[in-house]
Amino acid sequence: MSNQPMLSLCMIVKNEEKSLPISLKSVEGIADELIIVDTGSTDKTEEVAKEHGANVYKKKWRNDFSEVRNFAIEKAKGKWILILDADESILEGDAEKIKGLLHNPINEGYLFYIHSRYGNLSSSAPTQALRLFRNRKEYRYKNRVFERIPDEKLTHVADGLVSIIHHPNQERRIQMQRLKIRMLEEEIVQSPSDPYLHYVYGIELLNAGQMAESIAPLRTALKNASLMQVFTPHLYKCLVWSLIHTRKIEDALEVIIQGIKDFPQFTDLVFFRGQCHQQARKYSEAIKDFELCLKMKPAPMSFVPDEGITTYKAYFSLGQVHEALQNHEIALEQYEKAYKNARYFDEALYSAGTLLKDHPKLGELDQVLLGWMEEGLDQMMTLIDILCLQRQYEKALFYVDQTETIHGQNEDLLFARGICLMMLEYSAEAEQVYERITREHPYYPQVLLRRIQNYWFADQWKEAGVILEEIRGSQTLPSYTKLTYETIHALFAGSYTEFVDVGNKGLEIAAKLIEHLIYLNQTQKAKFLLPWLLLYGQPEQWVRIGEMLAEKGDIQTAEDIFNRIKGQDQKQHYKERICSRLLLKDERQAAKHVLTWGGTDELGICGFLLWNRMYSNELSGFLKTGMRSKRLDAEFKAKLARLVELIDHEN
Amino acid sequence: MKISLCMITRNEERFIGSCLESVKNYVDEIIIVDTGSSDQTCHIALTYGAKIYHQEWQDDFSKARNFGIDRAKGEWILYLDADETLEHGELLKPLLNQANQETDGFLFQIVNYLDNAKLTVEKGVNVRLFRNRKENRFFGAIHEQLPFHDKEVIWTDLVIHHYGYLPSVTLDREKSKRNMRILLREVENDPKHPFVRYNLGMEYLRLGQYEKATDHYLRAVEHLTGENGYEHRLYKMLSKCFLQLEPKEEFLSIMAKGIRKFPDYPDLYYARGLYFESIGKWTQSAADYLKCLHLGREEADPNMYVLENGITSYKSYEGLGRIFERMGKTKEARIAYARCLKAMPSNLKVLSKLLALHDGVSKTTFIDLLVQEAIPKEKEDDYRLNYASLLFDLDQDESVVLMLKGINDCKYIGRAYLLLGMCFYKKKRFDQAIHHFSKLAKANEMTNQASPLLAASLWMNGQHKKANQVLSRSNSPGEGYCNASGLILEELSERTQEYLQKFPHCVPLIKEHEKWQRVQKEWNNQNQQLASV
Repeated sequence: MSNQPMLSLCMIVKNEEKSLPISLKSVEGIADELIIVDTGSTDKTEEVAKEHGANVYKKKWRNDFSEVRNFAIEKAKGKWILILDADESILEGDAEKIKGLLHNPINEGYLFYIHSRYGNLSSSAPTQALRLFRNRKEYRYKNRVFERIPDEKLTHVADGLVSIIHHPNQERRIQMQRLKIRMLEEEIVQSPSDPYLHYVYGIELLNAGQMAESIAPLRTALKNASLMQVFTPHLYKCLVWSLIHTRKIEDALEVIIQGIKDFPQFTDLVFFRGQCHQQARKYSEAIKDFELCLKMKPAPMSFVPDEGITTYKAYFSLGQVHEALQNHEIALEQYEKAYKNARYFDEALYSAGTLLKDHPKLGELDQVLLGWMEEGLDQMMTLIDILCLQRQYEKALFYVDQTETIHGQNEDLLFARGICLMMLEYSAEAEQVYERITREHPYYPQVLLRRIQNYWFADQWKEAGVILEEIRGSQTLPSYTKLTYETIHALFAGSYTEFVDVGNKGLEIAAKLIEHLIYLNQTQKAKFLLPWLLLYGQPEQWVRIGEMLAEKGDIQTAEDIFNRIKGQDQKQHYKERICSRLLLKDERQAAKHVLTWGGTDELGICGFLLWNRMYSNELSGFLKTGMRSKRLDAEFKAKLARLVELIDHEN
Repeated sequence: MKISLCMITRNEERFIGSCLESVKNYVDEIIIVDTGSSDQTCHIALTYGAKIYHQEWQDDFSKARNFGIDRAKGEWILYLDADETLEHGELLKPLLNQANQETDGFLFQIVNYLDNAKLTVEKGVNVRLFRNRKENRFFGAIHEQLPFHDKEVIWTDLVIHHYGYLPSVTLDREKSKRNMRILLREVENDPKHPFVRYNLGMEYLRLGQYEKATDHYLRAVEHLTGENGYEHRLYKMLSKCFLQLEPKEEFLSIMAKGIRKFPDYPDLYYARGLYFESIGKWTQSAADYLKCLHLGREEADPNMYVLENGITSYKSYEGLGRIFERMGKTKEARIAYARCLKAMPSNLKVLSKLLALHDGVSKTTFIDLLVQEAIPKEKEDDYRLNYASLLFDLDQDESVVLMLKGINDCKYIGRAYLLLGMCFYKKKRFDQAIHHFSKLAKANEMTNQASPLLAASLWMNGQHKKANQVLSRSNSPGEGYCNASGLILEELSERTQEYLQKFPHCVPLIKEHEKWQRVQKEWNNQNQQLASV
């Protein structure tokens, strides 16, 4: 064996004392040399690094990642370079795989998968990146940000099948994101036609939640990218994702068609196409696409495919489409398949829960779901949560009792019990349960929020005021929560309050509360909050409130909300949902009235079915009136009588 | 003077009824030689009192026809095919008064329908009524001819409609095979016989085998000698084949030859115009179309030529319109299309082209052009109504109103409202339909046709009580209710169908649709049963 070390880890750090140990531990035993370049830490990073045996170098930060990376590589003596950031670690068990890769004589570099532990933007994670390559002079980084070794320089790259876990500190992440976006913008000015820069710039904007802004750079990237570039499939996916989430369905479809032409095995694009059709209510096309997904194989890992596209996600989407088509039984089957293909995919259970509650013919909610689930505490908690969401509080309480007997007492169960009691209007009992969770417990702030609600519901304003005081002083509750509760309390108290915009999360709290109030027949109280929500809230929240109003028979208020909604599509959606809610309760007259809101040109499936069934009855009635006319001769009378008989028979 | 109708038949149940119906009162006997029908042909013929002779088919039309004529007792023979009908049969007998001793036959106008919409028509003449003399017998195994070259025949205006060339009819494989068999046998006997070649060409043309057809036509041209009635048609048919195939250079020389021989036969110019158009020679194409229009004004002799209708009018105007459009001469194109419409006022395609050429121009200008160029003064209101309904189909509501506004004669106003109402009903704009039907009611022109429509519109609009009133006050409430029910059922069924097309996977919709179909079917069955009782 030669003396040359095999593998050098190269890392750039700045103030990473907390995360550095985890990161370095994950390469223990495979990296023969640790090169760490510090760009100006003010904490104990250097000490920590040295404790782990790293060679630490200092380098002034000059807004250029490539410069620092290349600097680190210059220092490395190993045959291979492993690139890792301080907030990343090699997935447990994958380190061994790296050893094997180093002995492959053909490959010059390897792509690793990076799984980000942040955000819910599944379409941009996991990504694949070159993290392991031979230590050769030609292999140097380019670009000041999203530095990379150009494809044309480093050929013979293989999939290393190694995963890196990325677990950034939230605040750092946002800081970094801003920095990176700024640097990218500068860099793009310098090389305006580099597709890679536009691509990563688009992704960064996506990750920052700026969907609409991400479209232009992603489009530019796609225009300049060639099919040979590794990132092109993922680029398609990101662009489509942005377009769909900014409701540019037609544009999205156009891109998808091109993408499928270029990469026919990219299942995610087929899935996206299904989603586009679903949104455009072209259900048959949507079904075709989702069924196609089920028949396809998952896309190659280098395309960065989503998980479950060819299995449970496709089933789940099929369920949604069939639900929209009023094919309740088929929808339920699909949800079951979705769940059974991915036991952690609770969304399928929740959707099935709603479906089952609305259509009792399909079976008892709890029985059906228990039949799907395996036994266990987590599963029971999910079931209880679903029952609470569907407002089957008595049943939920029953399962709380049962679970307690089997698995023993725990805070989640206490919490659930409190909610059930509260919603069943056992206010004092609920308070007793909440009080059992002590001040020291991590749930305590959440309990505070429940308690104030409980007092609000019970008109105990003084007690509510005391709790509000405590909420104000809480260290852990986020500021939007505090502001929201403050506002709600003030609105109830009737004191003059400005309608402040408390942000989406705050408004969601208010929306839920309004639903609860209507459920508890406290519509008057709900109306204190309604104008506020109508000012800032989301259409989907209005729909839920409208449905609850319909459930309680308050069609007038539901109509008031309808009149406040802007946009034909959203009005239509609202109307259909309210109508179908009334139909579920078999309140045909009310449903018919709802259908006339804003004209009857578009009825929707549910509305049309109602309309159609009513027509049958009305036609029969109409003909019966006609038959009473004295000027009718016998022949026609007999014909009409037969027709009436026919129609009545069909009903 | 007695007339015997002579016919030969084989599986003609589809047409024979209407054929015999058109002549039964004007001939003295009906003689049918049936060559082996397996359908209802003979049964139908018997109900018309025909004398039916069964004769085994011997691959010879003349033989079969002559067999029938030999048994005819009338002094005159009228011969028709089962797929023909005679218009104005009552003029048949008076015709005979024109005949003197020398007269041996009468020429009839034959109108051949070439497409199911009956838009494409070819006209020709043929001797169909002739004196029953021994020497007046058919010859030629297929496309049998009568030996009338030197006899005196009289020209008449009587029209025979021939449906046998309709695409839905000519594809009768059996017959085609039979014809082909006979012709191929004959051509073997006499390869230079131009008439047989010509007929073979016809058969192949009908089968869509244009190359083979061309081949036979060319041979016919080659061997043709002397005067005859079908040579001009040979050129016409050749042009048809050539235009179906990618026309070659040869086409122009053949057409030139044809045109030299028949310089006043418009169909040949038209064919050449199409060819020039297809290769982008606009000026030459336009010249040919103009020539057709010119010949139309001079009226080519229909005695001489089988003329395809429209060639001297709307077809050439349309061609000119296309060419002007291609050349960017919008103004000229507009006028050409407008004149085309004048000759063929139901041509939706041309009307929409004309509309497209007025894109961005005020609708008044468009209507003015139509009135000026496409409406004959003496029929102005008729045309206005007609254009209005076409424009409605094209979603040109504004133009519809403008067009109807100009109606002068008050006797048309009722029809205008009815039309508007029906159009709106068709478009499912029931409130508008109600509005117009109601005006009809106010003008006291509510008819049995309009009241169920008004009632159905009211009903679909949710005004059930009013619908009841309209029907119970109408002339015939029972019929009104039944018709309105039919309309409503149709409407409901259609609506369900529409939704189902949008959401074909929706199970409850499928069930609803099936329900309406069952009701509708039962309802129709019942109506039919009652009708037959």
